[in-house]
Amino acid sequence: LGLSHPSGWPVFVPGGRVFRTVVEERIADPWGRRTPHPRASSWPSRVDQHLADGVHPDDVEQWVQSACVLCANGCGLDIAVKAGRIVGVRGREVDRINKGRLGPKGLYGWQANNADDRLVRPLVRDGGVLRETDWDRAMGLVVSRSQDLLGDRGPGSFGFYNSGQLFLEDYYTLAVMTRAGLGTPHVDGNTRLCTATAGAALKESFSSDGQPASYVDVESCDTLFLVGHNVAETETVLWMRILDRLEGEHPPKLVVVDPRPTVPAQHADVHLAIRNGTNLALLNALLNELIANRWIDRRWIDEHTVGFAGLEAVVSDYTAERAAEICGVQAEDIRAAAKILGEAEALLSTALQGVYQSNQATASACQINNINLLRGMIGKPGAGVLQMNGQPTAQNTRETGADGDLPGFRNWQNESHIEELAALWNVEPLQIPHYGPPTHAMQIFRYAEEGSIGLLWIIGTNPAVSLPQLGRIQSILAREELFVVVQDCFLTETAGLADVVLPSAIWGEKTGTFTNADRTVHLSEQAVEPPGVARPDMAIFLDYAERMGFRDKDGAPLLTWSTSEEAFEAWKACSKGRPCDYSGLSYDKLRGGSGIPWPCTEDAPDGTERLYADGRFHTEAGYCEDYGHDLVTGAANDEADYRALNPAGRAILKAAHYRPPHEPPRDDYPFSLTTGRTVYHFHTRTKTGRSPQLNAAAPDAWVELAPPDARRLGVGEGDRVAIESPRGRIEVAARLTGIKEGVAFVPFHYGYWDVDASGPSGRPRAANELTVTEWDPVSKQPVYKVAAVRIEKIAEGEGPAPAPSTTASAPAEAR
Amino acid sequence: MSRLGTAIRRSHYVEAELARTFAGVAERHADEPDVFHLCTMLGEQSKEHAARLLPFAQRYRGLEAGASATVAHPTPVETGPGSRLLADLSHLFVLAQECWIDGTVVRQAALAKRDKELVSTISACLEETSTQVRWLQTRIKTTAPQALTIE
Repeated sequence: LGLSHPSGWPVFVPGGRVFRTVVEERIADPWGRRTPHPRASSWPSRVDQHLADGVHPDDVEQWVQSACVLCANGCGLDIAVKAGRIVGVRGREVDRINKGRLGPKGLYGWQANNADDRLVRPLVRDGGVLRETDWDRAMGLVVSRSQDLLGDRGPGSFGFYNSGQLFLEDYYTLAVMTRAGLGTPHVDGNTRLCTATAGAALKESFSSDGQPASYVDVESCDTLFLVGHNVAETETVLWMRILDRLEGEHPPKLVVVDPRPTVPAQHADVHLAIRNGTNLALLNALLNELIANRWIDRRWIDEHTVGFAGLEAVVSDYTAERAAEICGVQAEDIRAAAKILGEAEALLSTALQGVYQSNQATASACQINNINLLRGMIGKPGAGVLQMNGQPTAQNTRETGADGDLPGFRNWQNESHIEELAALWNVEPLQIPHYGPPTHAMQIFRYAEEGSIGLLWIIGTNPAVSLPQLGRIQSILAREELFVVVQDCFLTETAGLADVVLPSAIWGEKTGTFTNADRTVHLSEQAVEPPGVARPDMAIFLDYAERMGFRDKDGAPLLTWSTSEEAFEAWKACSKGRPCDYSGLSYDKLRGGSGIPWPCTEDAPDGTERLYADGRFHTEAGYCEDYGHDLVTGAANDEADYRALNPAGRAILKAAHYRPPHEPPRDDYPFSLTTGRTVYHFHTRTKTGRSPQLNAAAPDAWVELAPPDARRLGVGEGDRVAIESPRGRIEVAARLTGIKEGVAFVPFHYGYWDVDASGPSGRPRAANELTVTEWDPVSKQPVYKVAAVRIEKIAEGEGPAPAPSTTASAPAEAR
Repeated sequence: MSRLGTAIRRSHYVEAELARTFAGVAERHADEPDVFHLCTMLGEQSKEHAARLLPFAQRYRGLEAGASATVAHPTPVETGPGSRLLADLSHLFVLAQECWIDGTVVRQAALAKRDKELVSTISACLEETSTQVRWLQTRIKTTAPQALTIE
C-alpha cells in the first residue's frame, strides 16, 4: 500500500482533485501490518509510533504515560514531549488493550492540542458578540446568573449536558456538585447518544451496568457475532485484534449484521444486510432458531436465568421466513447464521450503534445478551458479550453518575443507596434528587425549549451538530431567555451560540483516569501546560462550587478535594462495594504498566478479567442498580415488581415483539436514511478535523447510495445531490457503494466550524439536519439510524465523492 | 340480559374511552415525541381491547352501559410548562386504573363461570393495562417536579 487503494481508486479526493501525493501509512491502511496467531495464544505486540515532521525519536525529551481518547478502545500510549509541546505518540507495548498498536485517530489526532485556534481565554457575550475576558468576570457572570435562578426558580431550572471525553475525576466532581450541591436532576452526557443503550441493556439483563466480557476473549473465542458494530472503523485496534485471529490458525467464524458492506462484513461467513430498523425481528428469529434446534443449554438456563418461558413465547412467532420478509434478507442466511451461533463453542457477541441508535434499541440489545445466556456462554474465556461504548470515557459517565444515574451504579429507587451517598457526601438524603429516573439529554433540551430550564451548561460536546433535528436544537440554544455556558477547547458551533465560553484544558494537559469499553482503567498524566489560561474541567467545577458556596450539612465545603488524585481517592470510596469497585486501584498502581480492569479490590488486586465468571449476576434486590423496565414502553418496575420476579442472582431474559420504525420510507420520502462514523473522524471533528492527515483523508461529507438506486435517480459517482427529510435538507456528493438498496448513509461528523463557523447558511451538510427527534423508550438514546428521506441530483460531479475508499464507503466498482 | 354481560359492556366502554383519550393526548402533546408515540400505540392497544371485549358483551347479553364513571377531564388551573401534560397524564392514569378494576371484575366472574375464552382474553388485556398504568406512573413521576416546582 502506498499511494492508493489496491483497487486503484484514490484514497481521497479533496475538492474533486485527485490527490495522489504522500499518504501517511495508517491513512492508506488503517489497520497496519498483521501479526496472526492461533486460537488461545496471546496477542503479539506491534508498536506504532508517529512523530511530527522533523522530530527524530532521539529528540524526544520525555515520554509521558497516557491512553488514547479518540474512541471507546482507550489504547495505552505515551505522549512524546519536546520543548513543552506534544510532538507525537507511541503505543504502549505493555498495555493489555493494544499491545503497542494505534489506529489512525490515535496516531494523528493529538495534533489538535497544538492547533492555533485553541480557546485560550474565557469569552462572554457583549453586545451580541463573544469577547475575551478573564476568569473572574466570566465565572462571576455564571455565578450571579446561577444565584438568581436558584433563588427565583430553584435547582430544577439548571441543566448540565456533558461529554464522553472528560476524565473520571471531572465527571465525579460534576456529579457531586450538581446532585449534592445544586440539587438538580437534569444532568446527562452526550454518552446518551452513544452508549446509553449498552448501559440500559446490561441493567435489564443483569440488573447492573458493567461490561460482562473482556477484550482478551477475542483470543479464545471460536465465533464472533457483530451486530450493528462496524468495529473496523469505530475501534480500529480491536479490529486489528480480530483480524490477527481471522488470519491465524483456527480462525473464529464471523457473523455480521449491517446494512452496509463494512470491512467486517467483507470478512464474514454470513453477512446479514438487514433493512435499518429491523434488528429485533432478526434477533428474535435467531433466538427462535436456537430454541427450535435445541442449540441451548437448558440446564444452565434453569440454574442461572429467569424468564425463559416468556422469551420462548415471544420469539416463537418469528420464523426465519417471517424475519427474512421484515429484514429484507434470505431465510437460509438467517438459518445459516443461527447454526453458526448455535454450534459455537465459545461465542463472543458485540453490539454498537447499529443497535443502540436504531429502532427498539434496548429491546434488541437485550436479545444479544439473551443469545449468549441461552447458550450459557457468559463469564467464560472466549464466551461473553461486549455491549460496546461509543466514546473513550463513556464508561466513566455511567459509573460516576454524570449521565444522570447515581454514582457507583446505585439505584435511585433504593433508599439505602441514597443514604450511602448522603453519608459519603455528608448531606441530607433529600438534598440528592432521587424522585424519578434521570432526566435524559433530549428531555433537558425540551425543558430548555419550553423555558423551565434557564441555565444550560454544556461541557466538552457539540449538540449544535450532534443532536437530532439541528434546526430545532440551534433555535433552542439561541433562545434569548436561555443562559448558555459552554466549556470546551475550541470555538465549536455550540460555543458560537453561548453566552459564556470557558476554555478547558484537555487530554495531555491535565492528569486523570478513564475507563474503556472493557472496564480497563488507564492513567493519563499531564504532559504539557494548557494553552493560555485554559483550565482542567475539574478545576472549573471546583471554582464554581466554591463561588456558589456549596456546603455539606455541617457547613464544611462540599467538595473536599483539589487535586485529581484526591478526586480519584474520593471516587474509590464511593465505588467501594459496588460492581464498579475501584478501591484496589491507585495512581501509583496504574503507573508504569498496563491498564487494569475493574472491579479491582483487596481480593482482586490485579483487577477482574470478566464479570459473572461464577454464573451469578448482580440481581439481588438490595444490591441491583435498577429494577428494570418494560422493553416496549419503558415503564419502570418498582421494588415490589422486582421482588416478585425474584431473580436473586440469576440473569433476566426479557423479550419484546418487533414493531416497525415510526418513520419508514414512503412515497414522498422513499429512502431510509442511516448515519454513522468513518474511520478517520470522531464526533463532530472538533479534534480530528484539525489533524492534517485525518482531515485530508475524509475532508467533506457524502452520501452512500446503492448503484441501482443511483441509476433510478440518474446519479453517478461524485454527483451533487440534495437529501431532504421532513425536517431539513443537506447537499453532498454521492458515493456509489455496496450498501443495501433503499438505504442511504451519511456520516454525522460534518458541521460548519470549518466552512462558515455557525450554521448551514451556505451549504447544509450536517447529517443531523435530517434526523428525527425520537428516542428509545428504555435507554432514551436518540434514533439516528432510521429516517425517511428523498434524494435528487442537483449538479454533475467533478470527480469521485470525498469519501474514503479504504472502508465501508469504498466504491462498489472497486469490489 | 345478564349482569356479567353488563359488566363486560362497561369494560368495553371504558377501554374505548381510554383509547380515545390516549389518541387525544398524543395529538395534544405531539411536541413530546415519547408521549406522542407511546400514547398513539397504547391508544391502539386499548381500542383493540374494546374490540375484543365486544363479542363477549353480546354473548352475555349485557345492557348498554353509560359513559365512564370517572370524573370529567379536569381543566388545569396552572398554565406553566408541563402542567397541561401532567393533567392529561393523570387523567389517563385514572381511566387506565378504571379499566384495570373493571377488567378485574370481569375476570373474577369469568373464572367463576369457567369461561376459558373470556378468562384468556381479559387476562391478556389486563396484563397490557397494567403496563399502561406503570408507564403512565413513570411518565408522571418525570413530569411532576418540573411542572409544579419551577416558577
